Amino acid sequence: MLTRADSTVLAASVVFIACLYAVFWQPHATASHINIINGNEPPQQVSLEQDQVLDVKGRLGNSRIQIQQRRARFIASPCNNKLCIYQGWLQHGGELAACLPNRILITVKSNRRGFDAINY
Amino acid sequence: MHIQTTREDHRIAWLAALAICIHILEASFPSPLPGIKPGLANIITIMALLLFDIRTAIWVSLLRVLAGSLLVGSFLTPTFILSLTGAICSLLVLWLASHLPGRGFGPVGYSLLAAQGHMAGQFAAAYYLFIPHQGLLRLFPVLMTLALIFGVVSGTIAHAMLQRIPAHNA
Repeated sequence: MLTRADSTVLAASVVFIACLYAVFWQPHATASHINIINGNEPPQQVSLEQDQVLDVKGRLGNSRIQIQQRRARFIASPCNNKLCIYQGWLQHGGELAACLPNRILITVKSNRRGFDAINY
Repeated sequence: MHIQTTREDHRIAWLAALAICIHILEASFPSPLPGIKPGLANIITIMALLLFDIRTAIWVSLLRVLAGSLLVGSFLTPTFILSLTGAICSLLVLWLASHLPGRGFGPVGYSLLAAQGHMAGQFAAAYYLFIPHQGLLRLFPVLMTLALIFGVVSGTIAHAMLQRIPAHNA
């Protein structure tokens, strides 16, 4: 049923598709650092490699930012609503949490931006 | 007015009509993902190529895309453009394959090449014309795997059909 040419093409296709998986299914590079923007000061770049807790002095007081396992979050803030804390962990490129009363913003930097929303 | 038609014209019309029927039947089946369908109309193109020549296959395939889209209602929509790009690419691959020296391909080889050519062309059109996003590329290996499976299935069906045509086996 299969000619020699058929078998050759079939084998070549299987190899070709295996290569496609190898090329297109590489894991994405994870985010490497966050930017902390405090008021009108220039952004401060902090690596996500090292687990640490940072205190950043804003307009109202100290905001505490925790970095752990390549993720970052607000854990304490002098503001009323605590929206920045409720934002939870940030780990993908483009994600951000802001404390507007204290004028502190953290964003995750990565080569690859995630989606804001997907709609079909 | 009377247009002179040749035997070949009639043959192409019959084959195209058959392919269009399959195309429409297939369009009515639900698909888990847009753009994924078995492409059984491909069988007719392969049969046209094996029983007659590449010229007949090209006519049948392009007529199927044109008339099929008119009947389904997708003429000149993105679906039609993807379908046409896919058909043109698969015909190019078939044309090249049919001009290779040697004993040549059987139905499975041709069908496999056509399915892969179709999917690659269609994907390139989708990527460059409609959704130029990196995320789409992750779908490419999956689509090509499906094209491989459907290509072999269509080719096997074409092979079984050719076995039942006495003139072909004589």
